[in-house]
Amino acid sequence: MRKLALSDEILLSIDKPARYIGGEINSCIKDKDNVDVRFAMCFPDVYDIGMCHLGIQILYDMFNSWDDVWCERVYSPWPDLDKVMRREHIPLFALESQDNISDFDFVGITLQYEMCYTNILQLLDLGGIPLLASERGDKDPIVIGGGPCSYNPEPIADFFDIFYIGEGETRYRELLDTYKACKAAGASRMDFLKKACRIPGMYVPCFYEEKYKDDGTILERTKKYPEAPDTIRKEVEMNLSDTYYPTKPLVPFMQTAQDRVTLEIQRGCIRGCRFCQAGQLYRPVRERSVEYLKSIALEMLDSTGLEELTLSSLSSSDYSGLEELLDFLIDECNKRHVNISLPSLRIDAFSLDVMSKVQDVRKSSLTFAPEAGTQRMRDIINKGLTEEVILHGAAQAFHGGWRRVKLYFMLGLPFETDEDIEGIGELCNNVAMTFFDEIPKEERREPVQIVASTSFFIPKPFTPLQWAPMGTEEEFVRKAHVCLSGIHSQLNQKRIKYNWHDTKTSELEGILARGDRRLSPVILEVYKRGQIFDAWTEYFNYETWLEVMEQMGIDKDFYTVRERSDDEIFPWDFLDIGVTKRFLLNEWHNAQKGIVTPNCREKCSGCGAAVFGGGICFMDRTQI
Amino acid sequence: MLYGQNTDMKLRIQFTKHGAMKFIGHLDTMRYFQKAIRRSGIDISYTGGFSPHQIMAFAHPLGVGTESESEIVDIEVNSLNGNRAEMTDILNAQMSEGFTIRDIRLLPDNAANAMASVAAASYSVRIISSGPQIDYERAVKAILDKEEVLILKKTKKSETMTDIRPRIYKLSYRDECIHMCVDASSAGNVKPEHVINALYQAEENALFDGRLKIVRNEIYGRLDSGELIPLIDLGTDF
Repeated sequence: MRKLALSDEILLSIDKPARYIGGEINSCIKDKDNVDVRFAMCFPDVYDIGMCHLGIQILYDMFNSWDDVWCERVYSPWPDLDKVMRREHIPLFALESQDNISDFDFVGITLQYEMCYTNILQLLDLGGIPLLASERGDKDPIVIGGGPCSYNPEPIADFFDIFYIGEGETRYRELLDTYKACKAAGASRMDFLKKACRIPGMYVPCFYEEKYKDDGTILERTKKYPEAPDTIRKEVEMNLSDTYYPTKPLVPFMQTAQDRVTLEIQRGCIRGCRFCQAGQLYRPVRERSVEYLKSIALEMLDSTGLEELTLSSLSSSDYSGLEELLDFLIDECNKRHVNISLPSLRIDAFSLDVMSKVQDVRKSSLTFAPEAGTQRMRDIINKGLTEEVILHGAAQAFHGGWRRVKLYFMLGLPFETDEDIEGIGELCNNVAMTFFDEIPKEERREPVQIVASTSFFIPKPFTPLQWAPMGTEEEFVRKAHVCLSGIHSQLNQKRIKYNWHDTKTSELEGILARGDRRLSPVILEVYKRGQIFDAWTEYFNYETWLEVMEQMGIDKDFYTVRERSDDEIFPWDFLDIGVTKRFLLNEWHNAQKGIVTPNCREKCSGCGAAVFGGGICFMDRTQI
Repeated sequence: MLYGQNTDMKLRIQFTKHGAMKFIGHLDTMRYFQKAIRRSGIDISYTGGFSPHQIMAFAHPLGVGTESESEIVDIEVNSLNGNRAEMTDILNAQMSEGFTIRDIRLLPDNAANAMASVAAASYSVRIISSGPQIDYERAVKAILDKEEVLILKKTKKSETMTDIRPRIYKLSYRDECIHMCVDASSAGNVKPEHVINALYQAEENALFDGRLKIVRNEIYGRLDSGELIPLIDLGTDF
C-alpha cells in the first residue's frame, strides 16, 4: 500500500479527505529513482476545481509519456487542512508519491485567474520553498508559471523563476533537456536560468527591471542580463490533430465540479469581441480534425468510464466540423448511455435539433450572451449578436418547447450610458413578448422564464479595451441598481429574474489583471496577514487588501479607473502574442467610433497572428 | 448455462475496501463502481430517460474511515461476459489499489434487493485511545450479562434512549480487538461505535473519546430458518 503523507487521524478530521490521497484511476506512478526530473504540477485552488482543468491533464499526460520525467499533481489544501499542516509542520506533498514538493526539480503552477495569487504563496510556503525567487538557492525547485494570467506575469514576477508563455506542448522537452544538462554539469541555478531564458517562450523575470515615470506609468524596461531576449513570443501548437492529448484522463474518486470527458475541439476564436482576452491570446484559430476528435472521444470514454462528455472551445458553433462531430457523438453516446453536455451554441435550427436530442427540452434552457443591452454598445465591443437574431432564435426555441432563457450581460463597459443599461431590461422584455406573440394561449401552460445575469467589465491585457478605464465599486453597485429598475419597469418584469456578480471581487481582479511589479509586495503582505482562497467569497477579505495597499502607498485607482493614453507602455508589452499592439490600438479607436470589425472567417483584419504561419490565417476563405 | 444468453440477470458482487480507499465515502464509492463497470465492459442494464443510470444497489453504506473485508453491491446485467471467475477478473482489472473484487455470484430471479436483505454485520474494532483505558474483557462480559443496554441515539431532530442489547448477536474481545456481530437491518442498525460507547459506559459510565479502527468483516442476510448467512452466499456459482 502507498504510504500517505497525512495520518488517518488528520484525514478523518478534515472535510473531503479524498482530495489528498491520490491513487486515482489513470494516475501515474513511477519509480522516483529511475527518473531524472520530478515535476510537481500545481493548481492553486482546491482539488474539486483543479481536477477539472484540461490543461493540467494535457501536460500531465505529456510529461509522463517521457520515461525520464515523473509529473505529479498538487492542489491547494483547503483552509481546514492548511491550519493542521501549519500547526503540525507537515510539508506540502504531491498526490502520487505523497513526497514533499521541495524535493522536486520543478514546481509548475498554473495561473488560471487572478484571485488565486495568494494561493500560489500558500503552496510555496507549505512546501517549504522560499516565497521570493531571489531567495531561492540551488537546492530549491525551479518555480515555473503558465496559463492565461502569465500574459501579465508582472504582479507575481517576484515569486517565479520562469514563466512559460504560451501553449505547453511545444517547448517543455527543450527546457527539461537544458535542465538535465545543467544538473549533470553541476551548474548553478542562475546558470540554468541564463540558458532557459534563451529558449523560445521562456520569460525569466529576474533578468529585467521596470523604471517608472513620476506619474507612475512605465518609463522603460531594462535588462539586467544582456543576453536575455527583449521580447518573448508566445508558444503555439500549430498541429492540434497530431499532438499530446490525455486519452486516459484521471478519474477522481470524489465528485468534482465537472465529472466528465472534455473534448477540446479547437483553440482560438474568430470573433474578436473587444473585451475578450482569450479571443486575442489564443489566435490564430486552429481546429482539431473531426477524425482525430472521434477517435480520442471514444478512447477517453473507454478509459475513464465517465458518464458525461462535453466539448470545449471558445465558440463551438464556429467549429467547421460541428455537425458531423455531434452526429457521431450523439450516436455513440446513446449506445453507451453517456450524456452529452453541450457547450453554449448559437441558437439556430441545427442547434435546437441537437439540443432536443440530448436534453429534456422542458428542463433545459437556452443561453444567449448579448453582453450589452443596446446595439450601439454591442458595436462598441464588437459583439456581432443582434436583437433580431436573439428574438428569432428565441421564437424558434419557444416553438420547440423551450421555456427558459438565460441572457448574459456586462456592466461598466467603456462609453456605457444609463440607456444602454436600461436596454438590458428592454431586451429581456422583448424576449418575453416574443413568447406571448409566438405561442398561442393554450400552449402557455408552462410560463416563460428569463434569467438575466450581469458581470462587471474588467479590462484585460492584450485586448482592445486594455486602454479603457474600469468602473469603481460604487459605480458598479449603482449600475446594477439601474439595471434592476430597468427590468422592474418592464411589462413582463415578473417573468424576468436578475442576478449580478460581486463587486469587490471584480475590483481586485481589475487591479491585479493590469498590475505591475509594484503589486508583488502587496500580494506577499496580504498573504502574510493570513489571506488565502480569495476566489471563494467565504474567505475573500477585501478589507485586508485595501489596508495593505494603503499602507504601502499603492493607489488602486491607478490600476483601475485611469484611462491609459495611446502611447503608454504597459507592463506586459514585452510579451508578443502575435496580435500586435498597433492592431489592438486600432481596435480601441474603432470601439470609440462604434465601428464593427469582421470576424476572421469573413475577412482578415491583419491582427498579426498570421506570423505563426498556420490556422485560419492561411485557409482559403472562399472554402469556409 | 446462462452464458451468452440475453436476459436480465442479477449479480451480486463482493468486494473489499482497504487502505486509502477507506476515505472514499458511500456516494463516491457508488460512482466509482459505476465507472469501473463501464470501463470493464460488463453489460449492465440501464434505466430509461434522458439521464439513464445503471441498475445497481449497495447493501449497506460503509462510513468514511471504515475498512471492509466484505461489501456487497448488486447489479442487473443483460448478458454475462464469462463465468464467475472470469467476470471477477474482468472487474478486478478495473480496481484501484485498496479495492478488490472477491467474488461475483448469480442471484435467483426472486432474490430480495440487497438493502432489504441485510440482517446483520460483523465488525472488528481496534481502539486507539490515549484517554482512560478500560478492562475490555470485563466490559464485554458485563454487556453480555445485561438484559438491557441503553444508548443515546442522536438523529437530526431528536435524541432518544434505545436498548441495543437484543441487537448485539455476538461480542468478544481477543487479539486486542473487539469483535461483534450486530443488527444491520434498516430498521435496527447498530453502529459499532454504539457498542464501544456501551462498553465504556459499563465500565466507567463515561463516553468513549478516542479513535476507532473499524473493519467490517461480513454482511449477513437471514434464512427462513432464522439463521444468519453471508449475503454473498445467497447467490450461486455460474
